Amino acid sequence: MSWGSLSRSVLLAGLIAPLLACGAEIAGLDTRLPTETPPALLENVVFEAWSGSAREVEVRARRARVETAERVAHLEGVRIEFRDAERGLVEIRAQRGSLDLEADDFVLEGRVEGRIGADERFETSELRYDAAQERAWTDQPVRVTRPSLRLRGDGLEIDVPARRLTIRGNVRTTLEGQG
Amino acid sequence: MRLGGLLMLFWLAQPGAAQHAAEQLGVLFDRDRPIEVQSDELEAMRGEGAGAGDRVVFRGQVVALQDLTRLSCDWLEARYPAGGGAPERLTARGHVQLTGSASRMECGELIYEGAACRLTCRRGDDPAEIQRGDDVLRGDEIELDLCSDTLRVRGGAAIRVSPGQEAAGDLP
Repeated sequence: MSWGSLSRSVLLAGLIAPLLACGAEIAGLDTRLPTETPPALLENVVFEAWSGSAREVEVRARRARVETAERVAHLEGVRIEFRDAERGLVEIRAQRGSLDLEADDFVLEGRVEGRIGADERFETSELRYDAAQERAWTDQPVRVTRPSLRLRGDGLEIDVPARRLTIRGNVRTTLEGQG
Repeated sequence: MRLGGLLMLFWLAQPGAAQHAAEQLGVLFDRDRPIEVQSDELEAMRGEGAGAGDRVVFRGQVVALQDLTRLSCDWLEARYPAGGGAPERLTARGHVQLTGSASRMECGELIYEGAACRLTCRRGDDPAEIQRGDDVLRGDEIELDLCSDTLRVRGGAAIRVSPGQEAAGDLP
């Protein structure tokens, strides 16, 4: 998953730019916006990241509050979708989230549920992503289910470049029988 | 990460008569029933490059349990073939104990190799040991061929068969 171009291509860019274009003076009239630039409130917003002609990631939110000064979007009713070459569609839903429009980092909170490919699910109450390190993690209890397999633990870390998943703390793995 | 193949993780026996020796040890997990594995940590890694399969490693206070069958160790690794399916190799290290209803196996390292149809128990600080009732078999390395139903002990082999026990055939 590459989030590298996310902030570059977000549809919000057109909204943010005018809000940040402050500081001009016309005929002695100080038109500078206040230091505290008001946030942009949006509904049914879609953020998209493209690589060439291929859409890498789509982030949908029922509501978004973009803090222009901090370059952070606070989201409600979040759904993230991207396609993994090997495993197919990856979809993550969360009640709330924050997206750092500079760094492309995000935090998902509330009920966070993911679906990977056709048959794998995960569930936690918080998921963080560090775009620079390409690392996702949570320190909250997590459940992973696949056909014939259930996993739970006190936390999870996904190292994307290393293709490594780690579940930490009181890990319980249930391998269902075939009977 | 593809973890589905874990279902086969502890199915040490091959189907049919080939599992006879392992059955005699009473240390088999039943593939038809659930297995619970506890550990401090689980790490799953995708194979890199052509022909490389996935790896799953359990670390810290590892216990796999199914009724009276119990495997405990410090570290357990499952290696899968590139195309997926059952693990081709399982390695348990550190204070390995595999206990069944009437048997116990203690090793420094326990290796299951699917293609070779082989279970190898190597010594750690103490000799490798299989115990069934009062009968005890020890050595530096105890190798169980699951297909030919034979058992081989290498280095410092010692066997103690207690009189009055039900047939020495308790040990394969």
